[in-house]
Amino acid sequence: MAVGQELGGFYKQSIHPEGLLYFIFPQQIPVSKNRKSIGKKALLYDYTYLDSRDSVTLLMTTNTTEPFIPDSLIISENSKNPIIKRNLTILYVETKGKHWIARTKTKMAFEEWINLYSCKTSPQYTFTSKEKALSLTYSNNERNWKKVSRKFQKIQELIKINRIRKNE
Amino acid sequence: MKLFFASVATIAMTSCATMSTPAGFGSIYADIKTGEHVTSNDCGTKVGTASATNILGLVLLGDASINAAAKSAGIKKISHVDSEKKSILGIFATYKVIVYGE
Repeated sequence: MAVGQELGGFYKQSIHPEGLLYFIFPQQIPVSKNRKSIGKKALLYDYTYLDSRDSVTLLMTTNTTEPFIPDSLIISENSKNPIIKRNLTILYVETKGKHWIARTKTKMAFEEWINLYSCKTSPQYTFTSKEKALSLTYSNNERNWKKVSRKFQKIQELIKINRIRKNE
Repeated sequence: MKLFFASVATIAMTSCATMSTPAGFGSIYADIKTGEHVTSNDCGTKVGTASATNILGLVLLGDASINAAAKSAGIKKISHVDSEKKSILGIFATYKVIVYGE
């Protein structure tokens, strides 16, 4: 169990008619170092979870130097077996200066979310686009990964405790 | 003399990055969350945020509009809007809008 992590400003918990709604404020994962990468800025991602529905919504923003519409995401540890493999829904694409910004969405089960943040090493996020046959990769350094994963583990622990209290 | 002018400039610029809140000004430090708007729409399951920053009251950057926050989560019907305001010594401040909806 993760202890000792300050979560102020990291998440929000709200009452909802169907239960408790959790929102993890936007976090960042740097682009993996690669000269040919079209990724310009860090990946921005946030999570929303309603405890009665058991599915976690992951929203992400990619910032690239050329038009890139990701249609699938693979999150894997050590480039081996994927932890999560999903098709993505595009919310919108826009330009900001010379960059292209794509906002995408996917869902995962609560257990998959727990498995993701139980990884010992920083997982790699790989976005692919069939249209352009391109891929874009993001990965945290190990030090940041340990810090962030502990925060997520603490929130997941909190969610489990609230679910138990709700069922009593 | 240079130190004197630098001190005067610093003092003059403090509190330039402060924000008014329902609880008043926080000249030294502010970290406050407030409600902004409520609609008659049902409480949604989607949450979106957008933020803007203020540096020394000289540089203001960002898009903290309700539209930007709603767009970031694909919200088409807004149920309510909250905000979070933070400022440190009037030097650096952020304003964050949090939109809930469906």
